[in-house]
Amino acid sequence: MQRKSQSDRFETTQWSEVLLAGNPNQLGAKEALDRLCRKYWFPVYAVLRKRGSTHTDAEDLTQAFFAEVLSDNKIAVADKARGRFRWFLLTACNNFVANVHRHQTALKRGGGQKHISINIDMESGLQRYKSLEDQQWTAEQIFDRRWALELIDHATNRVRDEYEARGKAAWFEALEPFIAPGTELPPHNQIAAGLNVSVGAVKTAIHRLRKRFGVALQEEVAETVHHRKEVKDELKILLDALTGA
Amino acid sequence: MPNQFCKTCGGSLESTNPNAGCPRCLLRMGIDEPTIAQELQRFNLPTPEQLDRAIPRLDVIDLIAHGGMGAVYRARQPELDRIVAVKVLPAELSKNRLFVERFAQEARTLAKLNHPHIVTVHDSGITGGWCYIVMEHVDGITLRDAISQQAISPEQAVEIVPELCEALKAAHRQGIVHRDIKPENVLLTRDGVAKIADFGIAKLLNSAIETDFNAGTRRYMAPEQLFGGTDIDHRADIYSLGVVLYELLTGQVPAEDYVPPSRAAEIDKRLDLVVRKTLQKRPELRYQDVREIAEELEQMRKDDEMPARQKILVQANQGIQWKSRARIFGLPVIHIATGFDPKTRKKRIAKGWFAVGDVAIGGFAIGGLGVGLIGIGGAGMGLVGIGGAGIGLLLGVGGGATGLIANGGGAAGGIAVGGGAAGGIAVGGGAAGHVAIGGGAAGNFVAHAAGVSPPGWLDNTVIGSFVTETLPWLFSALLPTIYLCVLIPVVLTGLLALLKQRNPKDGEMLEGETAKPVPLRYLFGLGAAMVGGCVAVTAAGIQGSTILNQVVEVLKARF
Ligand SMILES: [Zn+2]
Repeated sequence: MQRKSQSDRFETTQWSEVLLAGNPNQLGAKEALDRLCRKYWFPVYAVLRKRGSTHTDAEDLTQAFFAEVLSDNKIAVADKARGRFRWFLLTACNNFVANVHRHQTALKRGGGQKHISINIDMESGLQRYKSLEDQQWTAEQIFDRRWALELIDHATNRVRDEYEARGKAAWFEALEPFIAPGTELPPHNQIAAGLNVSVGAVKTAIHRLRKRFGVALQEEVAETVHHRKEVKDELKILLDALTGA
Repeated sequence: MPNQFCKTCGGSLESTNPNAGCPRCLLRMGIDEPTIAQELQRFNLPTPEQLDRAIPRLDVIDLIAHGGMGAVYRARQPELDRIVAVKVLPAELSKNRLFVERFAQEARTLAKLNHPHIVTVHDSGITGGWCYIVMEHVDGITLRDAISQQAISPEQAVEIVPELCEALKAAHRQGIVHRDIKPENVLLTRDGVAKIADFGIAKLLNSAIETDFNAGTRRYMAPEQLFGGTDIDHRADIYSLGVVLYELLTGQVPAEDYVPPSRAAEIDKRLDLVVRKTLQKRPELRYQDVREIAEELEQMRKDDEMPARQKILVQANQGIQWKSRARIFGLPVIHIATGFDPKTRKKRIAKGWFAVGDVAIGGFAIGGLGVGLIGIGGAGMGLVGIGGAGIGLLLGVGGGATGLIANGGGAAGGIAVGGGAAGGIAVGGGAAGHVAIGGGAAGNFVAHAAGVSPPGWLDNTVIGSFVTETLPWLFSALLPTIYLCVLIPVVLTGLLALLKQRNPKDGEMLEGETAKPVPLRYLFGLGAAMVGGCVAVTAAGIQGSTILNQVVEVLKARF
């Protein structure tokens, strides 16, 4: 039975779809890649800034970079690599940076810039880069650290959207700091009074929110790896990157 | 900005969003949370891939849900080109031979159960160490999810529950009891259609797996089920359905001494009755058939559709309804009924040997309209009719009275006594009749008025002797006796019945009516009305007979 031989059937992730297609113009692969790029453009921008580009230059270069990524031959490379989306993007980014001078010249001449569909809010990039303390890290470290923070953002948004869809936006706003509080937080009874529920209900809700956030993180990571089995390994690598190990 | 450090892991808090917390601790949550594959492994359940290999005739697509009681997968059945759900039971059960036998037997029974509100079982089997059931795939969510998302309004609850009733009715008719009705086992399709899942299987699982997994289930169990009763029948499902209804209405499972749902949430008070009768501890006091619940809810929905004015009338005037259990020739000895029946929206009619009500029909009927052997009321009709308008075959007493003997402001009858009287023998201020006696009298045979001499026949005719001898006796002795002997016992019985109505014993409350005790003011009002009515009627009777008596005395002296 032929269908039984497709071992990837259960593990379809966004990235594995791209890999399977091997070609961004095929089926949903382009959409998948486009979506992934849109989600993880900031680590690339941060690396380009680290390389000394100004905000305006980094903006143009980021656009140029993703235009190149979305071209066929890049995916063919990725297909061979069979790796994770993060590796793919980092490798591509390193290659791009090595040739940054050529790219910059090309951009100045106004050539080689393809129109790409991703619409990146560069202003937010500028704000976020200013608040970084990235001087002590290498470009690769910056890339992974930024990746980890993006991942957390996406997981948070995913859970927030779910709460909003259920009409529980207020709950999420009140409880979000409790997912993994780094500092002292107001006591539960204060939150309970704010939400007009019992302290027990708040504790249960926090427990549920934490669990949901953990799963959301896994879901977000699963989009970017080849196989679901790699999810925890990927998370560990990103944790190491944040710790600076 | 000074660098802050996480109180948990000691790392620096560099995140730009102060709400977001420590990024390292956040990432660790994803690592600590078991993945689905790990969870499945923990419960010894197959991954979709493993199940796909284990059941060659199905293409298993993915996992829908999983837990300690098993897992549900989505699959495609290629030869029928349909999507199905596959429920896989925990692996250890397939090692239990007794369980496997019962499972196979149950699955065969369930495959015969075909109903739009029951999740259809297509097939079942045992493979790769797992018992599994192939069933209809329902694209939707469980009622549990819907409740926790607060997605169900009381109006929707009133629509969902009758569907569950229909499903249970179909199953009960085939002798299949679910025994584990709870929101987890009810699925809602995208169109909002409810379907009950896990008929029979839930029961098997609960008996086979003795763990805290049943803890949630216990809250939905009927007392006889909870305390290990041996004769558990379909009425256990009715109880569980009541718990589900309560939860749908209030968001909470009813406690031991639960408050009526209308006090726990803003809902229709009529639902209190349904819930109360469903959650009776003794099965014989519950609804005996799920269909009855559906009918009540259906009626409620119809009521809500009727014109607003009529609705207010019915709701504001629910009145009371009470019947004694004792019956004579099929008629209750006492029936008290007032106001509107919320079910039929019709005015209630009291029918009994002693009937009291807005409209009362019976041996002795007291009411706005009393019709009976003795009818007393605004309009009293009967052999003896007493009332504002008293119409009696024999005796009519009232403002306007008609009868063989009529006594009233305006009286018409064989013998009429009143302000204006017309009749065979008429006595009154203005009297007209064959024999007329009064201030201004006109008569065929006899007219007696001031200054007019009556003829002498009165002394030696039959009519004459009736008027001069029988009537005085009748009015002075018989009528007061009837009034006193009959009215007083009736009023006493009525009052007693009202008091009983206030504290009905279980089972004496009939037809699901008025479960609440009647407010005291109601009792006082009705009691006062009955006593007052009795006194007034008796007084009128005595007075009427006295007047007539005196008139007759005058007549006798004159002739
Ligand atoms: Zn921390």
